[in-house]
Amino acid sequence: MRHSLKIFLWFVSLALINACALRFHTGYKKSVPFEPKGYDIVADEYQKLWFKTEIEAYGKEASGLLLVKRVQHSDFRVVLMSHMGMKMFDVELKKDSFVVHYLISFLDKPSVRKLLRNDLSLLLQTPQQNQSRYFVHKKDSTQMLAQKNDGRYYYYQYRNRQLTQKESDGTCFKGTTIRYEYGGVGLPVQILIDHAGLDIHWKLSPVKKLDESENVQP
Amino acid sequence: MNFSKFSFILFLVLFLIGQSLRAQTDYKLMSDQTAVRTGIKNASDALKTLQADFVQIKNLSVLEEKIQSTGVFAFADPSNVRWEYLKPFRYLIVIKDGLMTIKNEGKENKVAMESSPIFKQINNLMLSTVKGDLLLNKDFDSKVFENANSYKLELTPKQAQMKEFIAKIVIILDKKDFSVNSIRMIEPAGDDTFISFTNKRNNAALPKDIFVVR
Repeated sequence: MRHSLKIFLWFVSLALINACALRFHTGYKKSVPFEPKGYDIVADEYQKLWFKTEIEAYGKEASGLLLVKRVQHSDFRVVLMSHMGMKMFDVELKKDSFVVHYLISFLDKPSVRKLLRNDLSLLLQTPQQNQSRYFVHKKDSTQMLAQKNDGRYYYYQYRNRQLTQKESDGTCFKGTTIRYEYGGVGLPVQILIDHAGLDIHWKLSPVKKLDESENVQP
Repeated sequence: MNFSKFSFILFLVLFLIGQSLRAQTDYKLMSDQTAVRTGIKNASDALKTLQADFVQIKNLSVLEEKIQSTGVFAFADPSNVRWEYLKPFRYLIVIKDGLMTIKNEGKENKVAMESSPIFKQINNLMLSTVKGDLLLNKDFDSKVFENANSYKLELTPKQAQMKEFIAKIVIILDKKDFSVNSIRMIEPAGDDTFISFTNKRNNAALPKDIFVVR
């Protein structure tokens, strides 16, 4: 009995250690280091970007325009407003802080602030130079860079010199996934943000110019 | 004509143009709002339908440039509304019989106004604003100004909940018919949304299906 308990505890410990460690994705093999390059909205050439934005949260939908403006090299101001001009949030992401300039009262909850911070930080984050990096690749030429930063694991997936996916994991749970869909070379045509265990989804479509009319039927 | 005569005429012309422009923009505070309130009440009661084109300009302090949208607007008494944004994006909001339908990129989203007190409050505010009768609303402190052509209403919300969204609403009414020329909604942080209406058609027949979303 005592021996069985020991084996059980050993398996539980092993499972926990695995769960809290870097996840090696199925089909990937260890790779030689590579310099992550790919079109990303965080690239220096973009000082200001607009996105048509749709948010679905537990059956409710909202849409509007999201502004991502570079304030300094890695500091960004992010503003979401409805099509009718009502500002929903206005936040600033700095290297070591997250400042909420405005959050509409009915959304102003600690959980929403945390979600905004996590999602927007991941969206605007690039692999850190000063952290350990782990490189893996798949047969279909997909490359992945993984690293641990501030207690979280981050996975950056590239294919054909395009960033295709970003993931963040908590220390012991799966977190947020951002998928990038491309229509050719350049910026993605769609960015999708999903969460494990949360029915909250973002869909961002970059807009080249706000004065450009579109012939999309409403 | 010698130089001094030419200078005098030029000065006179510029002075007259300046005076004319000042008359159009300079507003004087009205101490008695009674006549304006009566005019607004009568015009609001008589307004059965309204159609107009609109230009919306969003001013964000974080941006140097302004964000402009254009579209068409329709209203039918008592509370049917159609806001259709045409540029830079097609986006449609129709409110009919207490149901708000939003159509965006082919997808329809319906919200019962009764189920969302915030939507209901915003809708009532927008209705009153476009009808021009917000001055009659007791939830706002008001100041009324006038110039040669228009009245300017400055409305400050009294309720704490409304103050979180809006610091002040400025409405410009045409003196001829008390119709709304423009609305400026100023947010507590100073950002604002300016909407101006043109090509206004009061009480014209509306297309039968204008409040139907297809």
